[in-house]
Amino acid sequence: MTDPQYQHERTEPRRVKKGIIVAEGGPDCTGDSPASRLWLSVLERSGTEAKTEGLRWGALGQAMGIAGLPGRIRVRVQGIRRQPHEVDLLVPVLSETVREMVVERLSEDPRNLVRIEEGGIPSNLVGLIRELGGRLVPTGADLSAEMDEKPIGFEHRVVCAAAAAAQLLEQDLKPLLVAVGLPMDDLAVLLRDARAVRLRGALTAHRDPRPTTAGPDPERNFWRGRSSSQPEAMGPFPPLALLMRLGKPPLKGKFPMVGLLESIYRTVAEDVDRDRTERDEAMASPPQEN
Amino acid sequence: MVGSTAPHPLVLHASWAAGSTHVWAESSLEDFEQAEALQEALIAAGLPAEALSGTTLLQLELPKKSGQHVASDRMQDVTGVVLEDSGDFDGSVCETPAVGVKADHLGQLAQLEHSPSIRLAHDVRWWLEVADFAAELMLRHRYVPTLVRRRDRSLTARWSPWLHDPTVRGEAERLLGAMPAVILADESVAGQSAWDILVEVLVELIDARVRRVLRAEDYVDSLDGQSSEDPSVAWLSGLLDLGTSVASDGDAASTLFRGASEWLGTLSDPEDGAGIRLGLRLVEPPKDADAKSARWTVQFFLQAAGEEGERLEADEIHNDPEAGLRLGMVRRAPDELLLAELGRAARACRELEPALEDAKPAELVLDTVAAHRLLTAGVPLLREAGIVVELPEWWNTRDRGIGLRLSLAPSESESGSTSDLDAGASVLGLDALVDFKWEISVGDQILSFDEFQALVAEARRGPVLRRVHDQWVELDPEVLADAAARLAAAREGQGTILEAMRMAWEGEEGGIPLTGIEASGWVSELLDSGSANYTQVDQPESLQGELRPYQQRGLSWLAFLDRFGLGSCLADDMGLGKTVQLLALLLHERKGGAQPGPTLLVVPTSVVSNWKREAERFAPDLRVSIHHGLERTSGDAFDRMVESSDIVVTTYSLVGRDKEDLERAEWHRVVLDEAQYIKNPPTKQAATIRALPARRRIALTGTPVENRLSELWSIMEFLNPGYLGSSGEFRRRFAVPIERHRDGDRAERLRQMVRPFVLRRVKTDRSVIDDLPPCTTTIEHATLTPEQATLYEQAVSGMMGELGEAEGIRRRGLVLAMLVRLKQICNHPGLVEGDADSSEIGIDPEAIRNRSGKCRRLCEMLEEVQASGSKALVFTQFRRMGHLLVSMLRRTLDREILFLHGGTPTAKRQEMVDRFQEAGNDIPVFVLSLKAGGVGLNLTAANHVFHFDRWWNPAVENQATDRAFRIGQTRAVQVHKFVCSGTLEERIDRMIESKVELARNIVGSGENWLTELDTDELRNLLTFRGGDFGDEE
Repeated sequence: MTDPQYQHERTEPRRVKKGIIVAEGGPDCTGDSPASRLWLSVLERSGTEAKTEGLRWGALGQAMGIAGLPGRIRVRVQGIRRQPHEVDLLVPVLSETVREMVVERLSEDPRNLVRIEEGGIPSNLVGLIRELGGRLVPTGADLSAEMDEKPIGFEHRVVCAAAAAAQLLEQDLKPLLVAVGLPMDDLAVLLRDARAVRLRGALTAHRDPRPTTAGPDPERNFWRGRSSSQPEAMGPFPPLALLMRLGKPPLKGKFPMVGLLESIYRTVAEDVDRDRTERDEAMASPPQEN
Repeated sequence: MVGSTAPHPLVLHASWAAGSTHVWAESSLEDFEQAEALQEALIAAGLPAEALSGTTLLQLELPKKSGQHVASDRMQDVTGVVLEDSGDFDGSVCETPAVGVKADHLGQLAQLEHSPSIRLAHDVRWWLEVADFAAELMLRHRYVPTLVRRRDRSLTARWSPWLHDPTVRGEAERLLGAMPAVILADESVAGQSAWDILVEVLVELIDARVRRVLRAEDYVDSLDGQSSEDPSVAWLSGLLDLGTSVASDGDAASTLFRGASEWLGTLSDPEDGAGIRLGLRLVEPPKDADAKSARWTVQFFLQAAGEEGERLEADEIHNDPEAGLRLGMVRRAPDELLLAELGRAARACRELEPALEDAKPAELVLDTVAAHRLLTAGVPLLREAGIVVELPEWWNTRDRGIGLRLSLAPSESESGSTSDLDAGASVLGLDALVDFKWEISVGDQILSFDEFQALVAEARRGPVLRRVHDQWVELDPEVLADAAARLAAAREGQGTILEAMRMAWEGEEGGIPLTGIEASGWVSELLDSGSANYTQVDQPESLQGELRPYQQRGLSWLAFLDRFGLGSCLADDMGLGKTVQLLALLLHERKGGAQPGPTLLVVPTSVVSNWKREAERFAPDLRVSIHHGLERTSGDAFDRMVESSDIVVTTYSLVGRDKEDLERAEWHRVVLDEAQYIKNPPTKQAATIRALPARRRIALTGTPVENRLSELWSIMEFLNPGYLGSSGEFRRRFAVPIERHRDGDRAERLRQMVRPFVLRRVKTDRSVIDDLPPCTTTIEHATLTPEQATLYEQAVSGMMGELGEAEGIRRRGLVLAMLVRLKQICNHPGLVEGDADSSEIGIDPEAIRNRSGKCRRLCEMLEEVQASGSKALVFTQFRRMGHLLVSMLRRTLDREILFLHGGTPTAKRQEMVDRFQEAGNDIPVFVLSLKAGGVGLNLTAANHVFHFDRWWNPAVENQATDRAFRIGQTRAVQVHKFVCSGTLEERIDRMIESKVELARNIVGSGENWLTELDTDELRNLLTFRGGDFGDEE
């Protein structure tokens, strides 16, 4: 244990192994790329001292990792403390409408889905988002930051984090896409759905299974089906089993949907049962022995 | 084309077009009914007008031939016209007038079933099955509310079937396989998959029905005053109201759709798991733990796909980082999957929720109450969600609760055991008394009445698990109350055999399981008679021939039930010798000169002569009289005939007509051959037959009677009246649960009830199969109808006159022509009528059957073949006869019938052979012309071969038989050769059998030898010596 009298305030950040080394002049991103825009926005908001110190930290490799989370890009910055800081650059999530339009437009070309499934990003995605009025990177007053989940100004740790993020995003935009609400896994699912809508005209909220049996062959089964086997027993199914397995829907609002559905299932079953019982009783009337 | 000119019923079809069902009708072989006229016809036939939704023109792509649409097989049946090669499509469409049917009324098309003016095609029956399936899904809560998003991003709400459960999916796929392509014939559905259309149809049916009910019950009122901002309210507004659209747009609509997808997605199996499932194992507490302190353990594991898939216990999952590889998991960590699946399991069963509080859950401890809730409420849901659940063995058995045991013993006031009962001795009958006693059991232990009452008191506090006599049992208050009430009513007493047997098999009606029956004396023998535990009798000395071992067992069984005065049903497969077993019984009871009285044998007309000949062959000592034909006796003469007979053979149709004579006689026994003839309980004929007075009753049938419930009731009611209750009671208690709900338990209970009275052996039984030769040939004697007999006699007398003056080649030609003509008459009178086109014969299929004795017999036998799941080849020399057979059999068996003849193109022949070999019982019969189909084909799917007419050349017939009896055949083959009694067919057959010199000449020479006979020999050979020809049925 270290004696308190020998303790002194640390002024230099701790050494980091395998940090993200940023060039002294700033991250290697230029032009109109989202990474470049992000870096420029941060530079616009930060003071000279913060820029200088932040870039120095960047060159020391103080940024340790970057992750896209909904609404933020999170960079771990080591700094002076034992525990590294979590610096978040807050990014507004794209509106549902823009996201849907992006999906709709991407679904026009089946190669986009293939590209995503191969681990890439559709080449026209950034331009498409811009074209539809969406913004991947906030600018000016729209840009804000948090450190360890508390708001923070654009000081040197934020500059360091932004420099590292810009450097990595220039190579791989996926964390930013996660932040704006377009993670690639989700996008693949949405694109598959959109392709389905495109091909079939509609998409259902549930999925039907695909059959293992072929449909009829018009040459052989035009007037009669291929097989004429008798129905097999179904179930047994506990009452309301599907509803009980579903539980409460993940929808906002207070209406007790499950309770109403339970009542509906019972009422409909009673009606069908009544109908059948009447039919069965009509058939079960005693035979005439004349 | 030759066809009946009488107006035909409309043949109704239904196709899917533009999102709804449309019916249309064929009015003739070439025409469709106009839409307005069809609409009127449907309403006149009983369909309510509100079921219909207006007229339209469908654009149907139908099979064509020479530019003309080819009539459906149903229309061909109706008109009696057989058209060939109806599978050509030329891509053009027929404008077809149609009437829309509202989805919610589709099931009402069944009401047209009995309309004389409308015949339902197979496709309409398919729609009715689909409507029934949709109703079943609603009854069993197997549908979900869903949302449909269209390209314009609008949302609509629908009620949709949930098809993921394996048994539901299996039924949906069965319907897909049964779907006729005509359903999809409209241009508007071109390119859509049959499965998508089936699902669409189910959505329409369910959605329409649910909405109708919800509207009637004013469900929409429940949304009054609710905020439309609430996504649940928005969704429900589209589900409850008339409109389906969901009033939500933009981001809200997308969020709602995403939420609904996520919610409904929880019902599906996890996609990343690659078939890997969560498993739960419930381990019961140690034996010394009482119910209050007992701790039950639920252990978790993951299991690879398949019932025997590799398992990973939770401990291994948490402690071995490489464990996932053993299940082939690469993309996802097994602990992650275990947690996710536990979350899904906890959603279905709350008792599992505490497991989620542990970061590394391996097991969960439950108290007895929670364990009981898991067992009763949780397990069914967990299993349904695809989770593997392992439970203590006792839970899966009938011993998991309190049960009842029944003791039955012969009443001391009755005569002792069966050993006292020699053949023909006193009969106990259904009124004989037995003592019964009810006891309460837990597993194999009996509880005292005090112990039982203590448990009843305990159970009143609610259902619970208790340890009783070292065994965990479930105390269900309702079941125990039922048992208590039953015991309070009668713990012991006395009743008839009938009451005792019903008591035994119906013990579980109140919900308490019957865990055992203890019977003694003859009651035990009776209840166990299905398991061959009955006194064996020797083969009667006077029986000609030797009974096979299984036939001897059949004789013993018949004799055993006969002694009790109980009716029995011998339902052996066709060809196993039911006739000889019955004849042996009749000889057995006449052992030592006993004269038990006459047996009335009621048979179909087509087998009257068969019975007579079989009796002459196997039991010449029996005095057989035939009560049949125009010269049959009545009044005193009838009584005298009965007195001097051991067997009186009559027909089903005469039982009604000669009721007075038949009822007056004192029959020792009534036997029904082909007992399925009384399968329609309400018919007068069935009622008259059941009313025939007799001390003993036997039914013979080759059909699996236990699977045909109305037939079973009718036959059992004849054999042992009242045993299965009234027909209404039977329908409610058995037919509806078994046929409608596929209730396996109820089916098993019925099987147990009838088992003592029905003996069915099939050729695949181990006890029979080793005892059968691989190929057996029987001669089937058919009776000429009066029309055939008249034609036959006219033909013989006319041609004999011509022959007298002819010589040389002309004479030989005349003889051969006469031979052909007589064989045609024996086959069917239609073959010698007019000059109908050989490929298209216009005769009503019903008439085909009724005008020919051979046709009647063939239909009866093929119905048995079909019922037993076997397939048959039918050979005929006459192509035109083949067409008649196809037309008749298609109607009788309601299946596609293949026909191969000289005009069948080579490519088509192989396709037909492949289809016959591949198809299950959907193509049960292949008709072949002897020349075209007698060589070169491999048809081992058939194990019955029928030679409808004879070539008199065994080599040719054997070659045809060898289509089925060859390498690849795994079953015994039954060959049936048809001959008409009293005709040249029978006489030549007898000559061959007796191996006379003439017959030796026949072998290898076909029919030319006949031309060498002089006129007297010919007359002798050809003249009809019938007299017992059949009447119209």
